[in-house]
Amino acid sequence: MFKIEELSESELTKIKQSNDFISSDEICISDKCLYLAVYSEEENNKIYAVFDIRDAIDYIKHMRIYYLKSLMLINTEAEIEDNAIVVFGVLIDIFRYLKDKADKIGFVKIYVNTDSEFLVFSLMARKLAEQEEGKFNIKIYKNWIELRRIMDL
Amino acid sequence: MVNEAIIKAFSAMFADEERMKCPVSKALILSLEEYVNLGYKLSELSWFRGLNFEVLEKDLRKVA
Repeated sequence: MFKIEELSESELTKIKQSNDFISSDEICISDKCLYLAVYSEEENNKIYAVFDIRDAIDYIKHMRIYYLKSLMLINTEAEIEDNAIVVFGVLIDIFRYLKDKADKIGFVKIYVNTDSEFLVFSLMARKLAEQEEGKFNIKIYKNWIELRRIMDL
Repeated sequence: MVNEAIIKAFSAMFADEERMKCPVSKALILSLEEYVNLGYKLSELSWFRGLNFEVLEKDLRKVA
């Protein structure tokens, strides 16, 4: 399981300049974007991916993930397997972060304007509501998914 | 070689009891599986930009 932590501007600048992450030249350092690192404590805090959530007051918009380029350097079958597990593990922990946010503040709203991401987010929200029956209310609008914690009475 | 390794990776995730006990893990893995089986491609997801998922998609359909 990975840890997730917000990156400071200087850490982000270092990452952008390092060219170690796929498409990291698109990282936009501004007040409007919140960038977070997905890292492994067991591996000396090695960062496997960076993602942005453009965190507005109460919603998340256009999440993008920048994976470590070395995940594509593959020599053996075991490495392919290990790297695939890392890639999906990163995505799982990013979703866990979003769900924890909903747990903490009561809800999370996700704005997605592409069909494929919208479909995965909505499938994911429905399945999560099934897995944790009675814990969340899911609302799905055009381009919006809302995950709201059902408050204990 | 690539096919087998990717199938193993997914099988490992489904077989990992700890991981599947976690509602978020289970929901995401099942969602990706359903997404692929609805005919969509993982490579169309911007989250996987730069990663090659062509092989995985073929195998996911087979496993499902």
